Amino acid sequence: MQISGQAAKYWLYSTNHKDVGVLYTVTSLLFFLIGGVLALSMRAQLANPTPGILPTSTYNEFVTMHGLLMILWVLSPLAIGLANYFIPLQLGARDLAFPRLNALSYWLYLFGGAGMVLTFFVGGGPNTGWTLYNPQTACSDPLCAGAGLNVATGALVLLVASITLGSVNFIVTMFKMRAPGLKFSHFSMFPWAMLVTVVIMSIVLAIIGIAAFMMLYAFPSFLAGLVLLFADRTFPARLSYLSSSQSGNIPSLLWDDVFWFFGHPEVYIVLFPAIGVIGEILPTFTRRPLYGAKYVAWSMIAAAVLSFIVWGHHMFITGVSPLSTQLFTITTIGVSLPFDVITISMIETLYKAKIRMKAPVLFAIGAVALFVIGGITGVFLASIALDHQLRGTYFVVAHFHYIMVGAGILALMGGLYYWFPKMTGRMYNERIAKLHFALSFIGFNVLYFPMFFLLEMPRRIASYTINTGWLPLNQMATIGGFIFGLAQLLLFANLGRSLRNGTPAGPNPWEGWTFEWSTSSPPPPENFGTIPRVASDGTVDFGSGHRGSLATGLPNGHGAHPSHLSRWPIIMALGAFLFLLGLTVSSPPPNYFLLVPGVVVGVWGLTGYGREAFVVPEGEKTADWPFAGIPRARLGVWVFLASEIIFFGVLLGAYAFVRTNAATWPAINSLFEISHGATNTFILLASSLTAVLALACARQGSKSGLVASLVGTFALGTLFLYNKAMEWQQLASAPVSIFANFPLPATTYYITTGVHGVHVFAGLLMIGYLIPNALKGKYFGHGEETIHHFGLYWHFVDIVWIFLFPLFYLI
Amino acid sequence: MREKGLSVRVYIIVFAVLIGVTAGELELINLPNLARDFVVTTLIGLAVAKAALVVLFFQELKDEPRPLSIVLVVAVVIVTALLSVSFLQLHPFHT
Repeated sequence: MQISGQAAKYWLYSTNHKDVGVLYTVTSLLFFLIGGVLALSMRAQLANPTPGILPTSTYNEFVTMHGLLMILWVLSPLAIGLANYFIPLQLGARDLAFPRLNALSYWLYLFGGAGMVLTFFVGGGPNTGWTLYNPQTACSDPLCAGAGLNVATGALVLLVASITLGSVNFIVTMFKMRAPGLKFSHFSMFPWAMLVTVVIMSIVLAIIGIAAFMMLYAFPSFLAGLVLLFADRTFPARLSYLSSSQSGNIPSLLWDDVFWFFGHPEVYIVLFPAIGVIGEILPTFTRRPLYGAKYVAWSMIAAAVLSFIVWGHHMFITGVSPLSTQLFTITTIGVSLPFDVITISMIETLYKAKIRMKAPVLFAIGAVALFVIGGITGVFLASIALDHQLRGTYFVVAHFHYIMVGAGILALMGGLYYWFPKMTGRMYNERIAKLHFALSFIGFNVLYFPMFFLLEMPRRIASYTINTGWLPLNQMATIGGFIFGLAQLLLFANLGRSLRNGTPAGPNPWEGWTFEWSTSSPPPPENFGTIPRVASDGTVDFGSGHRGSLATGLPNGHGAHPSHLSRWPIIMALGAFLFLLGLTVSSPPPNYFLLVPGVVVGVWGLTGYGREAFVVPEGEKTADWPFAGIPRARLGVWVFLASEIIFFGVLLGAYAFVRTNAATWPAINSLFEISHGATNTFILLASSLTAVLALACARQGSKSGLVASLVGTFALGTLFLYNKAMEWQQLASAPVSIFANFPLPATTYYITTGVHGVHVFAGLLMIGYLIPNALKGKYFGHGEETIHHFGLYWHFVDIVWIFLFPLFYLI
Repeated sequence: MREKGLSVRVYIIVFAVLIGVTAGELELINLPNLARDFVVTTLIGLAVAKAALVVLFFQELKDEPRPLSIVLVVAVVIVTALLSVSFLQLHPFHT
């Protein structure tokens, strides 16, 4: 960390993974405070059976905001903060693969969170519950009043964008930037856990890849759902995917499927980093390897795969097919098995060990204990019969808090204490940390254990009658809540004070075995002077003829290094924030006072980002199995496209879902003219040819050919959009209103082709950037990769249209 | 001048096939006496085939390491699984 007169500029512009990690960590703790205050307000309300402290409407807003903030802006980002800081260190890398993209991820996350909190001040926060269930989110009036939920939808879009970029970054880093000789079998538990987690939020490769891609694969589904919700609420008079009354409960089921397909993997996205942290702490403080570490890693991979086929257990009482409920019962019980292996491994690691009872290991042991309770009670909910009784009650609230807070938050707090000396060079106060743990553990159980007995009390109610008998248990829970909440102040006080006054930590205060303990505390900007090399016997070559185990010292990386500062990530994120705010904050939209500045700032940031000569050190030998031969950036584009497959797949699936269940649908060629679709198909296919010819020309060193091909692609893309705009206009202005008479066909058509059109427009912007540089003679030699990256994107957009054409025009 | 990737001739052949298949799609829907299920299945199959041509030849996936294909195939499998189960859930509404 650098503190100087330029500190503000430094923190706003830094792209160094450690700085971004600190920003993520601090910001997530601030959101933790906000979410905690909301939770304590709710607990104070529930200690009294009648509304008093919080009106019901405010209570609903608080419960929704608490859930959204804690799950999406606290748990995952706290883990991402630690991952940002320590994954490159543990891999023996200097930074993440794309440092500026990493900073952009953070700023999108921050602005998204700001937008979410802002909803309280623009017509009231969302009050639907964090699941945003339909029809609670449906518009009740033609202008869709209640800007809070609209703005919240925009904020969630920013968050998903942040997570998608982050997922791509972590995946490429882990696959392309490992220290030479560092195999996946050498990974400590945290990188393994983050690899699995990144895949959930986005998805993975071969066996290991499957795990790392969870984030990559899950969040695009949520994004597709948000697009539907966004359109419904922003253009309620015209677009009604989820609000349509024409198709019974189909919209509700559609939202449930899309949401929980993301939502259940999200539980593991949150949990895996916590398991990874525990897997780091236990070996260090027991002085023995994690018992069955290989099986723990395989179990996480198995859980990652299974997590994508368990979402239906959240829908047992929605009236879906009994066959599907039976299927989901089996998979849900099945997903508990890998976690059994993981838990047994941790218990066995502790068994008869000489444990150094420091705060990190106390938090880790506490998290394991609470995870066992949360896990066992989760198995109850896999049973259809029990789920019918328990769904929507405080039993469920207790269960998932034991998982999310008991296992998740406590483990991550253990990680904070564990790595605080490395991040700051200072030790925290051990006695206060232990007191923090004791009060947290006691407060947590007093808070949540009584809820297991509130079997009949529904969630999300602000009041109840005294004769229900729920009062004593609620009062006990409230007492526990305040103990737990106030205990967290010890964390802030301890870490805040130790930051300045803690005793110097030295490079390796815990005698840890992983790479990060081998460099100074805090590590220098470049982490290592020389990238270490791992030999097959596990020993490490630190360069300069120095050789030792992982626990011995590395030469640090102080000295000459490229600048880590770039102002463009924060400017781009600000532009995106203003743009989405402009689209959502007014009824009816848009608000041009925000929209226009958003576009201007966004384009300015994008242009600056593209033109900036930002040095990303490359060329040092790294372990890159199984992607040897693919440049870092190209792998990033491919991984990003994998998330796009999920995104468009879900959008097309939503169309098919609605269409196959709609009572009527216009005949072929009656509403959407085949000639329009066919013309645009030929145009886009031709543009793919010119795009690939541009690559061929770049490879052959033909400047004129390259420029001509790019200009041709630009012209064809523009023609495609022009034709599409004409078709849109023709449909919208037809004497028989498409919106009034064919609401579902109109909605599906405008949203799906609209999102595709936005992708085409983005491609045109890229070509607009490429052509001037091509005229200057760039993109030959290594520069051809840039043309290749553009082509990968453009051809993907073409592929999407290849499916849209028959689905909308021929079937 | 380096020789990398496919030749321009291959690109043009692939483009011609894509155009031909698209023309075939347009002809297919005008053929009389074809069952709707057959037409729908064939059109989706042709779209998959066209997409495969673009991925393999224009995006040059066939020349990339095999694990990269797995990353993309897994995404397709996940979407397919989501859609399949989603439709399975709705089974009772049709009976």
